Amino acid sequence: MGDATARNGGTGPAVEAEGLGRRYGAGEAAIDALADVTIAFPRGQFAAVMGPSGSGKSTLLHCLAGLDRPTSGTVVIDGTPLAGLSDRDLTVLRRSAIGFIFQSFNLLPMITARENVALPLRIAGRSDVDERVDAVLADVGLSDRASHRPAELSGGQQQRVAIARALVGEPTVIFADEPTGNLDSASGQEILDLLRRAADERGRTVVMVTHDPRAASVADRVVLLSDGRVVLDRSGMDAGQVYDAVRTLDPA
Amino acid sequence: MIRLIFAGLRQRKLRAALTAIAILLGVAMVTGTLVLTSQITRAFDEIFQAANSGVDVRVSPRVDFESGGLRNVPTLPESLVDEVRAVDGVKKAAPELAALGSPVVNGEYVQSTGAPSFVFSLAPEPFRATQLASGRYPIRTGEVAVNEGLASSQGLSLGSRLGVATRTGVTPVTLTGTVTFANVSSIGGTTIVIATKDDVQRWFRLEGRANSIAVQAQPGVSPQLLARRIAAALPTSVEVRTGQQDAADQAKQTTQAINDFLRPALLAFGVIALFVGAFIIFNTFTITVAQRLRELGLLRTIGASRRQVMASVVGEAFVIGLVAGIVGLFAGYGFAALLVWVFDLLLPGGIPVASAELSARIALTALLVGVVVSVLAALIPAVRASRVPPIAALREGAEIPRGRFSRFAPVISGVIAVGGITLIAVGLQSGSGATQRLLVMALGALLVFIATGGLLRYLVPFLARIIGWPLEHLPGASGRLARQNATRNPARTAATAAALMIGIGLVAFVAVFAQGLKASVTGAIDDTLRGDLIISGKSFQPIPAGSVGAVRSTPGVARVVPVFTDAARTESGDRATVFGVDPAAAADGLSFEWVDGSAQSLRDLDPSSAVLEEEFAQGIGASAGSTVTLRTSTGRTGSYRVAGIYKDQILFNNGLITSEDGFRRVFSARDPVFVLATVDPGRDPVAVKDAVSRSLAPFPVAEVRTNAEYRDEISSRVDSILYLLYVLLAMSVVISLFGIVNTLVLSITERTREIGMLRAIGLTRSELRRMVRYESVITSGIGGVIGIIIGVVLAWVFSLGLAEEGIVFRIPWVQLVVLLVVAVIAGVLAAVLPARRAARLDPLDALHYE
Repeated sequence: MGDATARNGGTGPAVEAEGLGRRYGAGEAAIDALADVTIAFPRGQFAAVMGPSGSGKSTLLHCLAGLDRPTSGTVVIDGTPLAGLSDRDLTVLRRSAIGFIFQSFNLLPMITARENVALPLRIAGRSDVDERVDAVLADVGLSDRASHRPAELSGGQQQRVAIARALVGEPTVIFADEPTGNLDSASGQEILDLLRRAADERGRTVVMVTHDPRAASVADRVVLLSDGRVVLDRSGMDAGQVYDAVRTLDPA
Repeated sequence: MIRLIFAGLRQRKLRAALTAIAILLGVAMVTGTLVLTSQITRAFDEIFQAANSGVDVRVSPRVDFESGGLRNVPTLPESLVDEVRAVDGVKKAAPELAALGSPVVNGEYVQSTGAPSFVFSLAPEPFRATQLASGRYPIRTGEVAVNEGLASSQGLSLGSRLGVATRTGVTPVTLTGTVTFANVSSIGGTTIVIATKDDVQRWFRLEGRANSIAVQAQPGVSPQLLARRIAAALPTSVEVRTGQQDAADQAKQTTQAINDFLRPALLAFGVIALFVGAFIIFNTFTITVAQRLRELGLLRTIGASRRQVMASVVGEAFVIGLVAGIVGLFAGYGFAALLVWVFDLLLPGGIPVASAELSARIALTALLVGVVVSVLAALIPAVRASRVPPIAALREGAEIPRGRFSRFAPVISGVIAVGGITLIAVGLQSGSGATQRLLVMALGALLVFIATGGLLRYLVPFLARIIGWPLEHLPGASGRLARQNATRNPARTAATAAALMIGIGLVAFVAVFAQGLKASVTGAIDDTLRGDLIISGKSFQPIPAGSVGAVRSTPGVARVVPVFTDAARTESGDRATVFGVDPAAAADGLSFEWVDGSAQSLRDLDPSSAVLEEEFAQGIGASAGSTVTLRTSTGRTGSYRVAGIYKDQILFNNGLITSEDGFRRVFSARDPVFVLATVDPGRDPVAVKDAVSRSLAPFPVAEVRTNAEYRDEISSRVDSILYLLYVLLAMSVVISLFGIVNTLVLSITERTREIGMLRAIGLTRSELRRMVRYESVITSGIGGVIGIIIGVVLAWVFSLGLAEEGIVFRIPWVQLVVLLVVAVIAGVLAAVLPARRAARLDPLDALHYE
């Protein structure tokens, strides 16, 4: 795989999708989770994807991250089209260009925070593990908790470990799936600040699925999905505006 | 509840199947053993019933104990036949002779490696055990009939010329007929040559003698009544039995070895397999109970009592055990067939086997064994399940409260270990019978394995680090992740490895023990036998006495020591083995370490003196100068003055050595069991061996080997038994493989989300498969290493205890390394299915939250 920094210096958008569709099932019972979505995320942008349940926001995330194969359209990450990549090539691309943050943290319980952060580097077979892990742990403010196991950390701390794990490989884009969904508001705010900084200071592109308008308001841009289509795509919304926008779609 | 059990089993088909297999194989081994031994026993019953169908009463020499078997069948005077005929109620009486002798076809000795080669005298009807298949029975001297199987396999037809190898050499004869054993399914590879009574007497130097007398009663006289009348008329040195009684006795005597040794030995391997299976069931249920906390908690919330929850787990084990019992029963017939095949490989045609029968007793045993083992193994997990609190249904990550005694677990394991070691020590030291001692020691070994299984969890992190070291240093993260996975739940890894440990441990034990045994025997041959050549008989036959002269007259042979042997009893009934040798030749040809006396004591032996083996002398309290009185199987007695005491635990053990004359004075064995020869100084032993071999041409039964060849022969005989043991122990290893598969599959299910995450952050499918494979290898490596250590230690302890039997301790390094490789390969194999399942998991699973 190419050098991450060189790639991050590219000029095109970090993530591009064109005419993206994802259909589940066939015939009468077929459901279009995504229908003809065309969207691009420039480098260094922090974007929030919102929408009611079943709007297709998770499917969009999965397709953009190469975890799910779209039934139509194309996804290009960092200039590499995902279509036609083998499972292995796709995995290697994920390894170097993509970071993940999950709602339920998904840390390995049997190893320390430090080892969890080091995991992507070890999988990639990198040799400069120690310095990078130290730096990124300091960045998320967990240097003093590095030797603790996940069970010994609070939810917020666990999610910070997860962010460190996503950052350590210096990916082009970080996909975050409801990263604050399991956290109290104070911890959630810390997480959002870290993501904000990842975009601002490190130039990472962050694509975050959330249904919390306050979380979305921290982002540069809000993309609202409904029935698999983009119904709103705006920058610079505050929490109240986001809340209103969501309410118009989801009266419940 | 019952519906719930079945629903649960249906839902977890693969796990249920793997768990059932773990115990099914053990059930199959147990039922297979019962099936096989009953097949063999029935075959012998059939043979002896058929052989005695026309005999109402049989008269044979009275024998107090078995001595030399077919090598040395006692005889009675043929003249007794007339006395029998004179008894009121006897319609017909005839002498019978049976000896060991092989056919020689086209100058080639027909060797039946496993089964005996019989020469029978032709008895008149109705005493014939055989039925004519073609031609006619021999009438004149030089005529024989043979069994049809022999004729067809050797391409013999009526009128063919062949030879019969007997005590007096090879006699040329003509085939006049072929015979079959009526109504008998199989006589194995036994060869039968039937000749006239006079021929048999002359060939075996039994003129005027017979082995037994067959009697037919007059109509209206019952066999029982006739037997009593004949017994009253004859001397007490003979035994008179009805034909049926005789057949039953002979069958019982022949199958005694099978029922006393083979069956318990095979059952022991079945028990080992069940033991391994029990470990696996215990482990599987422990894991599933931990995984089903929510479900069990839910049951409690909706009103199930602790007892009901426990019953649901036990019930599941019951169903699995029952299924395993039923399938295992049928698999047992397959196992019996497999054993027949293996035996046939080791001893071609050696064991006659009747067709397999389905008996209610065997079927019931299979079901009972399956259910009992399965339920017992699931008891602890079931109790644990009953402790799941209702709150577990609501809370993520709830845990089972620990039992009152769980903190004592290591102490309990320690106590079990000490108990096991104590039992082994007691077994080694006690003076009781060999079977009892072995049983006590086996129980001790079992406890050691259980204790090690319990303590292993504390060693797992350490062992995983050592075994995982090379894997962790391979490129990629798979090795490190595998080691971390293997150590995250040490108890689970320990229980999984323990199952393999048992099989590997026993293989290691057997390998080390056999190595020591071989070293003892070959060492004894080197130390004791100063000669260069050893002449012994093929197919368990004695060497014709005439061959001694042939060896002696071969150029290049300096000294010849024929060794005669027979079994005896001391006055107090202790077993003793008597050896008869030429004193002067033996003093030069045999080398002993002397406790009392010297080689001169051997040289000075006279017919009334003997030298005693140390252990034997101690056992009967004899010392130099005292007198030993021995009794033969036919009731004769003889006394020997103790002229010296020597050490020998292997070759001339448990008995005494007297002069040839001193032997003949009391004992009847007329043929040496082996002959030792020394080559003239400066002559090439191999060249002289070839010359001796040519001199022995008239006695094809006798086979000459150099000492080195004889050593190799002994080694290869030990090896062939070893291979049989390996085959039987391999079953346990296979069973433990299923245990590894089971644990891995369960762990992977448990870690679905983690695996999805790893895939999402960049672990490729093949790296994931490698991770599972490495975890499997670490587990099997732990089982292998600990198994080998325990096996070696057990063998060492056993060899210490058996040091007085001459067993030494030798480590077969090559075999142990091979064994470790086998353990690792087992790990790789066990990972195939789980790794594939893990690789199939969708990384999307990591993103779905419950």
